[in-house]
Amino acid sequence: MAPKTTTRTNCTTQPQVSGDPQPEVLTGAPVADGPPPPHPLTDEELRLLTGTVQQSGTGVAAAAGPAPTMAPPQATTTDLPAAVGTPITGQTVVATYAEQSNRNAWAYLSTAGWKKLSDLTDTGSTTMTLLAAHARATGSAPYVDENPAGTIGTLYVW
Amino acid sequence: MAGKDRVDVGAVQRALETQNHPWEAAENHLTRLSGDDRARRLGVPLPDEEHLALLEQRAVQLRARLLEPPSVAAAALPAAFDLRNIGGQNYVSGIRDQGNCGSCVAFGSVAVLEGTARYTRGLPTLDSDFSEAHLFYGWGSTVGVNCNTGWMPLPALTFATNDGICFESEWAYTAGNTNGGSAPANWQQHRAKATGTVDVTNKVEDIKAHLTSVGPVTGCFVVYTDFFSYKSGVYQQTSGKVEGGHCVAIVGYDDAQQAWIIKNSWGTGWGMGGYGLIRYGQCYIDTWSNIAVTGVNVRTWTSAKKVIGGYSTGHDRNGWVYVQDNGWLHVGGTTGTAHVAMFADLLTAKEKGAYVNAYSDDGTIKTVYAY
Repeated sequence: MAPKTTTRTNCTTQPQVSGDPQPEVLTGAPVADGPPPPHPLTDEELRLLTGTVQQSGTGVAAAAGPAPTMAPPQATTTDLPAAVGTPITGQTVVATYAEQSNRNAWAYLSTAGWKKLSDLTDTGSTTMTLLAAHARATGSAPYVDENPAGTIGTLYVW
Repeated sequence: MAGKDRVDVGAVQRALETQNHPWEAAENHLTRLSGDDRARRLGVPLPDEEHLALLEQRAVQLRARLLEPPSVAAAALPAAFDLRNIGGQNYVSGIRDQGNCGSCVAFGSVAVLEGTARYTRGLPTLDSDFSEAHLFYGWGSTVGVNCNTGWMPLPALTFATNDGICFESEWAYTAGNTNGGSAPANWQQHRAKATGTVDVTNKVEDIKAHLTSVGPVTGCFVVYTDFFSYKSGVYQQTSGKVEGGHCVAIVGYDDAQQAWIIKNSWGTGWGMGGYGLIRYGQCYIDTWSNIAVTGVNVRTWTSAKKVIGGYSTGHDRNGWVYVQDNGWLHVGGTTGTAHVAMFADLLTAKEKGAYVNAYSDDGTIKTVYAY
């Protein structure tokens, strides 16, 4: 996909970087130029590349992902879950962003800014998009766990 | 009907007086029964002489251990724990009455299943009224168990693990199954199934650890005549003869009183509203047969509930919803499209505060209505 070349400062406009388009920074900080750097392939990605597993949509059970451990806010136990990355709490979703590239959905957290939702799988990206949109619609501040790679790997919305 | 050899409660009280009243005795619906009818309120076959000698040896060793300083593992456990009151929440299902049938093992075992299902989910209001009748008259009968033979909790909970049991609403218990109940043809669509059994017999610290981390544990013990008249306090055998073996669910403990908290199956008219305290090491309560389960899967409709929370990671089909009174349920889907469709329906219901009725198959939503 050809990269966009224009720059804008309005969150309702198209994103402006090469590679998978990224949402524009709402607070005025520039978006890094160039596509995101490659990351080491995960075991799952390697298996997908070598064709040893089927992707979703083929009627097979999904490999088990991590289960939620967080209790609802009104529960007697309100311990936060063990974070894999950096937890972000108390910030609402101000905006969301997606475009036609595969698994390229973002959410704008009120202070942390644009964060890409995990692009590990199709359904993972989609369900996180639904959750982020739901958090934005309800004004609920989600519990977010940001991966070391900078993407949101876990979302809780109450 | 009053029995000719009913319990002489006055004699029990006099015996207690000689021992400075370790517990209180009172008349109740059991003390008025005949010896034969009392025996049918039990349901664990007494051990043979060889086994009895082993149990006695264990009990002597346990009582000696209780006099020693606690181990590091024991010291790490809370000094008291009660599944009926954890932060004001009660994870123990209601008191039942086995009536005139030696089915105590079914009641002790199902209490373990019900309490574990609730406690492991952190859901005191989980619909977990499972069928003692299915376990006893259904599965028990396949191995020759009936009201007169008695049973043991390990085989009972093994049936619950390998096969599962339906809900009470589908096969209600009556003593002797006089209502002619049976499991409906499609009972497996609405059932509870344990994920595994754990034997913590003769391991006091392990019993306590299981209680605090997973849920109730069965306790089998020898019943003496005076036990039927128990009203309150910490029970220890003071008088009477051996009446038989019995099974209850241990639902807590109190080190200060050196006692287990037990849930009996003799109705609320016995003990403290159906509950009692038995001193550690008494009557083989902690050395004979202490069986528990590692968890309980449930296959059921949630009925009309609200979605409270949502969760997702980047993994394939790993959307979850927290459903009122049901906890976290994984959203299923044989395809990614189905998974996303159900997840969207559930989140929409959450956003609108609408009700959902989801079919959960061992914690995975397979079907959902939102309305």
